[in-house]
Amino acid sequence: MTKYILLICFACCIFSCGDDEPKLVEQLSLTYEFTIDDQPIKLGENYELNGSTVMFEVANYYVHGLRMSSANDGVIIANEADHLLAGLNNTSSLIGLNIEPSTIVTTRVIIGVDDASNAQSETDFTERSTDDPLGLKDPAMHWNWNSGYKFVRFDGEVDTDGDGVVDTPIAYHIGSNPLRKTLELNSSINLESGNNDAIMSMDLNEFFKGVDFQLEENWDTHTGNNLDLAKLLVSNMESSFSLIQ
Amino acid sequence: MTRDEYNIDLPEYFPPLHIPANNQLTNKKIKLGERLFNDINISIDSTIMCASCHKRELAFADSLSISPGVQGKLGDRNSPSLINAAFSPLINKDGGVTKLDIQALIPIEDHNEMGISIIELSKRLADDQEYSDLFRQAFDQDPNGFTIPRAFSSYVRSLVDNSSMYDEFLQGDSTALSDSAKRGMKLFFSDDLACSNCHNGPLLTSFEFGNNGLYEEYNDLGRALITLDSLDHGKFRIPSLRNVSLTAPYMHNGSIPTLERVIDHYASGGSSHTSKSQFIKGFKISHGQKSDLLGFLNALTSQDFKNI
Repeated sequence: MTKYILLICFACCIFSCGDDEPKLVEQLSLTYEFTIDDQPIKLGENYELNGSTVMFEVANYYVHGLRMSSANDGVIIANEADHLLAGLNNTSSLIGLNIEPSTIVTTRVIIGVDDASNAQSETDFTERSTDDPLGLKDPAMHWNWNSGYKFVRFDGEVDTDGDGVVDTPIAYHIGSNPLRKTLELNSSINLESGNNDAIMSMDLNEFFKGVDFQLEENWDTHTGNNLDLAKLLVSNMESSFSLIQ
Repeated sequence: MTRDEYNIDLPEYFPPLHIPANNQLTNKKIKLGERLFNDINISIDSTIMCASCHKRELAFADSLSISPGVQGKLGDRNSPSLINAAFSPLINKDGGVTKLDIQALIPIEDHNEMGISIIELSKRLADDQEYSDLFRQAFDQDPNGFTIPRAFSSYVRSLVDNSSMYDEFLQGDSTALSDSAKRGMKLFFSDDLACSNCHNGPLLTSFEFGNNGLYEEYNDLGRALITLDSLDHGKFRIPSLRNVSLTAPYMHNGSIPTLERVIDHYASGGSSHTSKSQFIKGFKISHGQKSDLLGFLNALTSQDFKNI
């Protein structure tokens, strides 16, 4: 009888040890959204923004230097070197995290491309695989007249004659090292065992704050040619981004 | 050295030519680059080619202030000579591109020039069996964003020339320059004219960026577009003066039609601008001296493009 009791206890121990084994956070997948009036937008559709009818056909930006911190343990995810290409059809996956379940409370991101990659003097974008976020892309995220990348690219059209039809091209291409932007985002992202999802959201009301789309001087910036507009958009980034779940 | 390797014999007084390890010069690459250079199908509507704006007989420059791109579209800058262009450490008049191997993307993708994305051009060339074979032979790869600009850069690297009368003079032939050209040379290198402060070395350029007082206000910000520094407003890369007699009109925008007028501009001291070069102060020059100076500048012309 004692033998059977011992056997049962031993069996229970085996199974309960398996139940107590910690399950780690394996993956965090980031998708990207762009909002106008708190609603996610679609490319190619018209929206009212700053009193004008606008349509965006390209909405992309680069992120790197990702650092996510929990309340108790400080930085628990650090992906400093990798560049992520944010866009409506993109998903960036941080895999192999192998960390304890936790809640992310702050996230540091850098909007743009790091110095070395941006210089193009060693490895340039043509030498990278097209799967590489810094490789050749369509729509292009590289400058051709300037070494380096467009950190942020928005292309579209605006209605300038009030007939409800977007008819005037607009283009906002921001790059160059001085316009790289570091952001600290307060967030509440619960990381549970296995795979997790989060959304990096860009509020276009905030990003384009102060931009009157009816003025020709606001229709495009390729950074150097309209530096004031580029700098305005970069400063607006402070309040444009959030990380949500 | 393999049979296909292309060796460039540089005179001792020329600067070194940088050739990257992942794009060594070969005859196949150069020939492929030359073929592309002369092919209208690299433009979106198959109407223009590189040679449309870089004409061999004009030292691979053009006779227009601004050369038209597809559909007659005009950019902002004058077409530069490509002879010895590979020696420039930074590419473009504003130095925006850091390596020759990706320079060709500018004219290919600029909507005022060829107007075609490199992705679309890659598909177009890959669909052409002959081009596909040529790229495989030259690069062991299909036409793509890596190989296409490198075919062009290989061809441009081969455009090295030192066959001017000035070169013969530098190599010891004191009779290579006429007496007038010698007097012009002395003026050129004098402190009074100060030309050689910017146009120096065997290629007659320091490769630095300078504002030559062309305007009080510049529509084209030049180097400042790249550095975002207002002190760089109106600065452009100092061009080589080799073949300058063939590359009219002059200045970054082709706004000065003749070399005589260029000399007049510098003699006048140019317009005032906060970033104007300290060396542009104006000078006195007689009609005879101007003629001598022009004689020297004419002696910088490649005699027969014999190395090309």
